[in-house]
Amino acid sequence: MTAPILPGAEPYSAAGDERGALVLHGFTGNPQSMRGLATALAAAGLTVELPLLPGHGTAVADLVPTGWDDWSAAAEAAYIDLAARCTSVVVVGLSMGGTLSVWLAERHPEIAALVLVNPLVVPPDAETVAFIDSLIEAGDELAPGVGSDIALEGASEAAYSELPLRSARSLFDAAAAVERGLGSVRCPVLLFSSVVDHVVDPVSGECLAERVAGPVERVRLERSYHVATLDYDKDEIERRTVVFVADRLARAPVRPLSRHDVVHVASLARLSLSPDEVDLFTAQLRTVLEHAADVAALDLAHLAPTAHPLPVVNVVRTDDPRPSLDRSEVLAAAPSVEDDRFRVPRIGGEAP
Amino acid sequence: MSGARELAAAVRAGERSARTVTEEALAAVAAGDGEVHAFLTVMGDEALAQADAVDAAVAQGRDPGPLAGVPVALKDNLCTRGIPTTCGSRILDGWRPPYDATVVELLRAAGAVALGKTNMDEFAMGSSTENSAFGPTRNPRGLDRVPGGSSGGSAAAVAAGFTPLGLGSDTGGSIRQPAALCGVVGLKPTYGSVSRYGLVAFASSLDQIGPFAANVEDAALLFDAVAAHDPRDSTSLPGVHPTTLEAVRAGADHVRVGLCPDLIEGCAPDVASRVYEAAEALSAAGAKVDEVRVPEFAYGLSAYYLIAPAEASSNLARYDGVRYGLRVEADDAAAMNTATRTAGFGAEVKRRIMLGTYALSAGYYDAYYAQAQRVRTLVVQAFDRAYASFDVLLGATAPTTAFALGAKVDDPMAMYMNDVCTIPSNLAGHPALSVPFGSGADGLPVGVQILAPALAEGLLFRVAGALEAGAPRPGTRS
Repeated sequence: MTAPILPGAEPYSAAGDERGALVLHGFTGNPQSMRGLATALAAAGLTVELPLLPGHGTAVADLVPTGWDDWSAAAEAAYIDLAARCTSVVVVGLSMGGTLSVWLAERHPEIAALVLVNPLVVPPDAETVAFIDSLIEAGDELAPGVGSDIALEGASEAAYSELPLRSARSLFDAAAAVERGLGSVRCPVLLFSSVVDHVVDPVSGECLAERVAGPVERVRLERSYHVATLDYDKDEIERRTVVFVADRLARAPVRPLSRHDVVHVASLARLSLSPDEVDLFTAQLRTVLEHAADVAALDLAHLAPTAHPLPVVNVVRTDDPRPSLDRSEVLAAAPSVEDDRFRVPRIGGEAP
Repeated sequence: MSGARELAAAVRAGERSARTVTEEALAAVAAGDGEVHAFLTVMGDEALAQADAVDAAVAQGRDPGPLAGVPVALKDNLCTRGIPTTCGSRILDGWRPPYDATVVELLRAAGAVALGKTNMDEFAMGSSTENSAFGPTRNPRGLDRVPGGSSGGSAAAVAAGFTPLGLGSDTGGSIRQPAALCGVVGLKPTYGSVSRYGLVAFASSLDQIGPFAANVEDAALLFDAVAAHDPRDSTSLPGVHPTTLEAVRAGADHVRVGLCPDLIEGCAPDVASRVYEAAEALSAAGAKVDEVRVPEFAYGLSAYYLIAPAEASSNLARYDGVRYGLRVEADDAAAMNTATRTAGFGAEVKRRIMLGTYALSAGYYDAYYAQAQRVRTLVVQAFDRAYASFDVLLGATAPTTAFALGAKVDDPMAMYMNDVCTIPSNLAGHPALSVPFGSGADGLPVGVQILAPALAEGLLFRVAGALEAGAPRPGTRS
């Protein structure tokens, strides 16, 4: 019997372009902790899936009978479904969501990149595990929860207040296996590590940064605790993730230009187009962009961009007075002049 | 009309007056430009006044300059103080700049006579001069054909014999392609060697002013006169003092020429066979010719048509109806901006502004603009590799001879393909020159393109001089 989904714990999906993002929440948590990051990726144009993992987001009793095999199967199913719709996929995870992300990357080398926030990859030491085992042997089912480790006043994670011990044990065993496979992760990783974390020992981040085969961009969070996606660094995590993902998935073919894009771009460029012109420009610009697909598809990540054929330096002249353009000659070219100044219509809603 | 060197020599020697030369040129324009439409503005009074100043200098025994009395046609994106400068656009119709471009000042100082402002594709965006708001220019070699573009007016003015010299600007081939189609010589100099001060900006990292001439020596003469460091252009190279004129007769002996199939294979067969004949002519002249593959050039076109529109979308934001040019009145400033730009820009300019705005917009910047900039690096590296073994590269300038007016104007991508052989040099900032070499199957001129590393214009002129000497007689069909 499953309890109803807690308010805010609903899964999240967003249709976007050919770039996919699978976003995974942590143990005893739910999509609430990752919704901001997921919507930021959707706003950047990506197709996003933020599933609710089995046993989570309802009542802790639903989590008790579940374990790693259930969560990982759900995460993999969500990945396969998303990958079928996308040309490249990034996996984003918090805490246990990070464990799942790395596990997926070890099994699916086609994953384009990982974004990990305080991921668990090194299980607690043997003493702690033995203590948990002794509690389980003594018949205990639940321990006090680990949710809502947040420094920011007023922010909270809608996690269970208790933690099923057997489920936690399955997570630790899986983390040990994931840790052993780290060397096979070749995709780029963006790793956020809170300096103060009361849930996952920072040794997990150190170990991951050291042992994965792909490039790691590491960001240390000075002010946030474990659930950094809801903490002081929420905006920074979202911003950097969007930039990182846009960079890594840049080579994915971009969705075709739409009429809507043309109307939008024309308004940015202060041009007004008739409906016929929108149709014509859409078709013509699409042809040009299709031709540019050859360039968009090249793997050039190793090359620095060239903005200018010369090494451009700032040129400053000596600070000597010299004649400037003649004011009346300049103003003579203006469409409208008043009191030796350019005259313009009112700006915005000001009174004339 | 005789060549620029002969004219300048005669004027300097007092054998001919600059006024007579100018009057003859003005008469030729009056008689012939009705059907060619090379000029948007003829600077009759100003030209005669400048000619008189040259004649006065000669009479007083002062040095009238190396271009004494030589008429020059100026592309209408070069600012001329008090003289309309339209860029081929309605949005600048009637604008009179309050200053001269540096090249205009240098020409005057050299004794040249600016004869008028020539037609062009609007804001230099086009390859046929059909995108001018003031009607197309016709190719003097075949009046039903385009002269190429965007500097089609200057190319046509030289090809028609109105002036021995012209100045154009080349962002993706806008000097070399019209030079090829009109059967004249055209040079895109090294980026930074000719000041861009007073050149109305299209794509600032690619734009470069350069010469048109009826022969190779005259092109060198004009390039030497306008290439100089200019503190008013922050991208102007220091210490530029070219002496390419003396290179023209130096011959191509021992020059290592890389014949580049990647700049030939996409061309019409009659154009391609002329390029291979040019390679043979250079071999006969003592050059060491070998084939060199540069497959990266294939990506240049796509990269260019993202980078140039991106820069243009930014540069053309200045046409807002406030400080100069057209204004279409409306209730508030934003509506006035939009009404002005909508009425003032033609279709190709709008297309490129939108393409550039799109390539720079959120979500597409990395896929398009940043990626195109990486391709630019790729092309630069490919050039470096080729120049490790060769002094110059040889290919076609344009894929075909001059095409019919109206043939491509409704198909932007087909028009853009005209620039496929010329774009790599703009991306790298390198010089390249088009020199006539015989004719195509239709009897129209074919241009052969010589490419060289930065500041190696002297080599370009050596090879061009050898090609000119070894070229088939004009009108010979392949």
